[in-house]
Amino acid sequence: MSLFVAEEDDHMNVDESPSSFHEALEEQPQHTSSSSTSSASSPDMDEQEDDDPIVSSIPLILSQVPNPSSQSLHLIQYPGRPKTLPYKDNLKPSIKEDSAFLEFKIPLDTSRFYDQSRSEDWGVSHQIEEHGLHGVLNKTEGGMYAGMVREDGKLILIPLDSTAQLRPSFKYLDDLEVARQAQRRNDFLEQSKPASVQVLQTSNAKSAAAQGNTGEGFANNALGESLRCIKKFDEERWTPLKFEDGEEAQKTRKELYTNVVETELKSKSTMSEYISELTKV
Amino acid sequence: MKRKSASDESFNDLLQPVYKGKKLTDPISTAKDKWNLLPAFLKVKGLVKQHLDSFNYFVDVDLKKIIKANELVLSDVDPEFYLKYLDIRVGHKSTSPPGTKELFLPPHECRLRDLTYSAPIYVDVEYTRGRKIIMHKDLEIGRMPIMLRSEKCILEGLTEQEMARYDECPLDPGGYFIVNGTEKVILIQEQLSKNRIIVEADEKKGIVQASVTSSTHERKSKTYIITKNDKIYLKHNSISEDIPIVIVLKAAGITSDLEILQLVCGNDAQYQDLFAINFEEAAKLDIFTQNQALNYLGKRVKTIRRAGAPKLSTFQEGVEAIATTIIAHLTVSDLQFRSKAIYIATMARRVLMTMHNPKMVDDRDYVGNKRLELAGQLMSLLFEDLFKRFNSDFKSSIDKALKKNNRTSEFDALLSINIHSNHITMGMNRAISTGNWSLKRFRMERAGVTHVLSRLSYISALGMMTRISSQFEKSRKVSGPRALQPSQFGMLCTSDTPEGEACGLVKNLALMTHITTDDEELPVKKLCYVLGCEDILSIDSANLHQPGNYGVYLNGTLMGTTKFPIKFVSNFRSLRRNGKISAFVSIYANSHQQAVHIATDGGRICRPLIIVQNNTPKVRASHLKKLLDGEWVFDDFLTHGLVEYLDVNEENDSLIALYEDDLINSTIEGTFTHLEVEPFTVLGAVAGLIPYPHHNQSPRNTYQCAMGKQAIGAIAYNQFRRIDTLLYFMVYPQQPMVKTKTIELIDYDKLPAGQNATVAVMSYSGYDIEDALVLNKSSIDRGFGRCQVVRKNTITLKRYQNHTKDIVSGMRVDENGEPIFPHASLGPDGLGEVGMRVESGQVFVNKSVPNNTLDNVLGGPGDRSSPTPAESHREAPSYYKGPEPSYIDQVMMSVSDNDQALIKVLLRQTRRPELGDKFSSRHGQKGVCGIIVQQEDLPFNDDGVCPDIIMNPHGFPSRMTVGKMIELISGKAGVLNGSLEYGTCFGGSDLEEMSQILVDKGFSYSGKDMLYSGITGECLQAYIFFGPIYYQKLKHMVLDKMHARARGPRAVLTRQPTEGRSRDGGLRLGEMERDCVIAYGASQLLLERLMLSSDAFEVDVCNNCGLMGYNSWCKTCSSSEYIIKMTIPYAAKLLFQELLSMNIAPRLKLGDVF
Repeated sequence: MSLFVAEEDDHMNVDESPSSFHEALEEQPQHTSSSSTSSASSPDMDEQEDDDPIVSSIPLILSQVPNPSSQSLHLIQYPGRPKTLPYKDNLKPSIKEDSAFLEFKIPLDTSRFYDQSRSEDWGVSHQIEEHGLHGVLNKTEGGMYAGMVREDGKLILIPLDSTAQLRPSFKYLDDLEVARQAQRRNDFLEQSKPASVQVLQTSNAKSAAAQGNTGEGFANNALGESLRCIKKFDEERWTPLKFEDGEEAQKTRKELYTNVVETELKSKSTMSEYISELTKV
Repeated sequence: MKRKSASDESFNDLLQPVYKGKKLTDPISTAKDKWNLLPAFLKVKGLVKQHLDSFNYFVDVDLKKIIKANELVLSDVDPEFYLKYLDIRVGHKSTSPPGTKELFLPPHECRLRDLTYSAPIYVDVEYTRGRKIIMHKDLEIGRMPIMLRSEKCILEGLTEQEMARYDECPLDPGGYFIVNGTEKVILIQEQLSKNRIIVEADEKKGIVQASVTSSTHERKSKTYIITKNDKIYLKHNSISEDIPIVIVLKAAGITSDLEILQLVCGNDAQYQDLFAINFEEAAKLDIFTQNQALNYLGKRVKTIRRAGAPKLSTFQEGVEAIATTIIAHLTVSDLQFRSKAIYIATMARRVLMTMHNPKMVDDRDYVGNKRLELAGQLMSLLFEDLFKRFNSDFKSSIDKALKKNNRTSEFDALLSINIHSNHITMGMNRAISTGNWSLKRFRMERAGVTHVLSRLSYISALGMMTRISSQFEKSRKVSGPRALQPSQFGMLCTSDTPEGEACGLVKNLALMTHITTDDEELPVKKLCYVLGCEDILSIDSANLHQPGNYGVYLNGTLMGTTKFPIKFVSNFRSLRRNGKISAFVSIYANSHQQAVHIATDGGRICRPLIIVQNNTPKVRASHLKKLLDGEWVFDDFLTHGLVEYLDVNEENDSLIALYEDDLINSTIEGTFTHLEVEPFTVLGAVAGLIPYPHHNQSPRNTYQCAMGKQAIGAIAYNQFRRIDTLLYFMVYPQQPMVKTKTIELIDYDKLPAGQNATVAVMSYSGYDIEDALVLNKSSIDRGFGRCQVVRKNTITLKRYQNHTKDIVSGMRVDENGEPIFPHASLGPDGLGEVGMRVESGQVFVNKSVPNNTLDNVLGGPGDRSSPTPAESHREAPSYYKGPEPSYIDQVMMSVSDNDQALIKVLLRQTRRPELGDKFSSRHGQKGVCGIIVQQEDLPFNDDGVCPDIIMNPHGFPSRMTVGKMIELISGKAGVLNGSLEYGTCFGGSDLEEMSQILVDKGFSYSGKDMLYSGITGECLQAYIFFGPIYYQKLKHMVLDKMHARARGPRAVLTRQPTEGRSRDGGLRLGEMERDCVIAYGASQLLLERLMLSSDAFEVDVCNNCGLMGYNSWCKTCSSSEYIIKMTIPYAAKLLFQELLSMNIAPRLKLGDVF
């Protein structure tokens, strides 16, 4: 679990300013592809094609987050949100670490473009003030870097731990649905005799408890793998994170590429060694 | 691959310094000599390498994977208990030195003794006994039938001499199993590729559907994306109704309509218009969030709950459906549904593209969309099923044992594992010997998977090993799957397919075909990322379908994108050519789908081609010299990147030159990427026998492919050691005068099936109409067309429960001390003596069976003291039956695996050709012998040469078998020149050169000679086309078919004559023949044929009641007054009685006719 910062550590630099992430999103892939291919396959290319001369060479510096045990770097993407409209500093992030699930709460501006009649249609008494974004953190397993060409022409690379695409969750709709269902159930229960209901409930509880006692492992086995994940996800608690997009973030960001041990990367393995390492079964 | 295999020996002389008149000092030119790659290829690959590769992969890799997937056996009773499989090996123990092959018996002994050629399966297990964890190595869980010549077979890697010691033929291809003494082949099965999207359209109905058959170890299911009223739905067998695509995508986590549109349509406005309607569908149903969509889906899942599984809520059902049921080969094991969502979106996109442009459909019959399933894959399916059964049986017996709490000793699980070891052995044996593949977990029953290896001739065995059977229904009248596909060029033989119902459905492999086995996906995936493919999980949906952005599909699943597909593909290929990844991974770009497809899965058909760069082939003369010098083997060409394997899809992405000349002066635009090794490799092993096939009308080549398998010839070097049910040998087989390169490669010249007959193409005697042949009697005397037929007779001596057993008793003699006629060929031991003549009605094994086999006659068990009287036996001898006598060739006595004595008697007949025997040349020109003429009466030429066969010239014009004529000319030139000529497809000896030889030797260039009549001595009016043609004798012989009956056995029920030659039956005068006789008015003939010669029966009919009585007495009327005797067919009498038994009284009313 080096992926994440220790649980109790609340001063985290997990999230960088979103704008920088956008930058990363735009340029990241090209960096990865070009950097890895140029470093990896250029000797091979040289052998084969002579019409591919070296124009200039850029020293690569592999860096890392200043404090790897408590810090980690993630790429967060917002598909469906144009680049020109970055999210501002009012995000409320939280995470379920074991399930690698990230959630952002974004306050809705109810003063403008808010369709009051729509929420009345839905039967929501209060205004919907929050908007949810969530997504799964995908481990990168190496090969993905945040890159930055410094003024001195050196390229700093910091490996990314994971990437995540955050999508709207429409939790308010689901909550509505749950509320409606509860209402329906209540209506149904009120119609039937309350006494029998109680009996029914206790028996339910009992059987559930009995099941829990005897066949916990068994039931777990019988559930599909993804259902077990969902169960685990439901049981896990949200850990709130702090969103930084001010001085602090700028500072951390600068730290990332200034506070670098300047050991220039030199390839120790040959191209073919690297490839065979990759293709090892 | 580098190993020296035994079958290589046979290729060695092809690689010798001087071979077929070619010396090393001869100039080597790539154009002429690159065919040498072919023997080199076959040296490594062999003719049945597909089967061996597949089996080796199964035993070495797949078995371990199966063990890994089912490694734990747990107990419901004791949660502490576990048993874990650590390793599995076939044929050698963990302690035995590497390379040990622990086998039952040598294969030939298994054949003779009706045993199974198998090796033990050892597993290493770790399990708990009480509190201790115990490791146990080399636990035998069953026996695995071993494919001959595979890595586990003792024959693998043996020299010709060592093979001889095992009574094994070095030319035998292997690739089959021996189960209970019979050789069984698992035919190659052709199937539509799994886990790939296939889009089809019905333009009339306006339906487009994309389907994918997902196949995993646990389940097989099919998911469809279909259109209905221009709306797109998902259809799946375990979902009760079609789900709108937008809801499916929302359930898979793509909640925003914008993103759905981006994933399915991209920026294309036309696609967006087509797709927009689908959003309405979801909106109408009020489904906006993932949870709502999952609930909607979950409500419609058909639940099949297994016992003990917990009941799931609708939401959970929905999750389960998305995660595992739909597109089952992509299993989601965490919360990330994105890959699945993208897969579904891709399918929807393909449907949309086809709705927009109906030409975007896939072709089911395209060879690139097919996968071949081989022995290894089928065995692995079977083994996994059996292993699962084995484990569940094992588990239940453990549970039973663990339930008893008061045990004296600690429970040892291994004690109960051995009980079940027979299941795996028996299961494998039964499946292979019956051909019924029943897989419980897929609820699949497949019959006819295995066949008995045909040993009619070497070619028929070889043809069977390369055969591919299709899963298509034979009776369906569809032309598509039967048609010759352009994409099968070089992969599947274009000529070799049967005629009739299986035409085009049964195919054969071409000579250079290789079938891939599974390769690991992960390394390829990593490599793709390194080569600049962007991970699909970090790609923005908006950019996915940007023009110029190519999706990278690994085995049909979108794993990323690249903006530089050409560079990506060429980089990938260069890595493959450098041997960094498996040579059998294929990659190609498809511009219509904007996709780069990479395939690593097994069962793809591929073949080697020479790489061309800058219009020059990479294989140079120097490389070929190294090959000829023995410095290099075929694999060196691969590792040096000179030759590579292409599968059908990648071939489609290449420009392949047929000849080296085409590289320089070609009218085709574009740069060549590859060069054929040899064009004649488009044909398979069987079609390769035909000389000059490129001059024949194509169906003639197909006919020859069918007939080549029926030709009598040499079977194998060990043919006289074999005891098969029925074998045919040719007595003096000859290698053909006109060979092909294929003939040399497959060693047909060492095990030929035919003779070079001198043929005169002329009319003679009138007994040569309708393709009949005139044979020369002296040729027959000299041994032309002579063959031997040996037939096996098996006798088992059984043992019974009451300790009695069958015995073989000696011969009986008459008063003179001579053996009685039926026992004339027996020896004193009651077995026929080798070399004795057996006539019809004589005995070859005088077996006697005990009269009482059921209970012990001699009192109870207490009565043991009384002396046992000799058991009484009655004779149950094996009689020989047949029109011609046979000779006893071999007698074998052995013990089969259930301890019963096994006697096999081999009876031999030597047959000379007679009228009606069938012959054929190698050009689909078959004919029967019409007359046998004394040599004196046959025409002869100036040299006094008489023809062996006279063939009627009318056989040529309509058949257009020009190849046969060229064969004659080349053969004649070869005879005169003392050389063997070649008739290789798209090559071979040049006709002009052959004519020149003829002219030089004083013959006509055209192959025509002046002949003199054998009867008058005058020269014939016309020049006669005269020369050697290779003729095959086919297995259809008059002796096996002739049949006549004057009187004979009748069926018991109807008293009509029996049916069929084997029962000495009559020939039926059927309905239509009866109609003819009626129409002609031959009433007495009708009466005779239908009643008198069949089942006439005299009945007593009572004219009073109309029913039948007997003995001149009517039982109904209790009188004999009105009884009239008359003759009716017995079948009619039977009918009346059967009607009576059903309470219907058929009453006959008799009146006077005159």
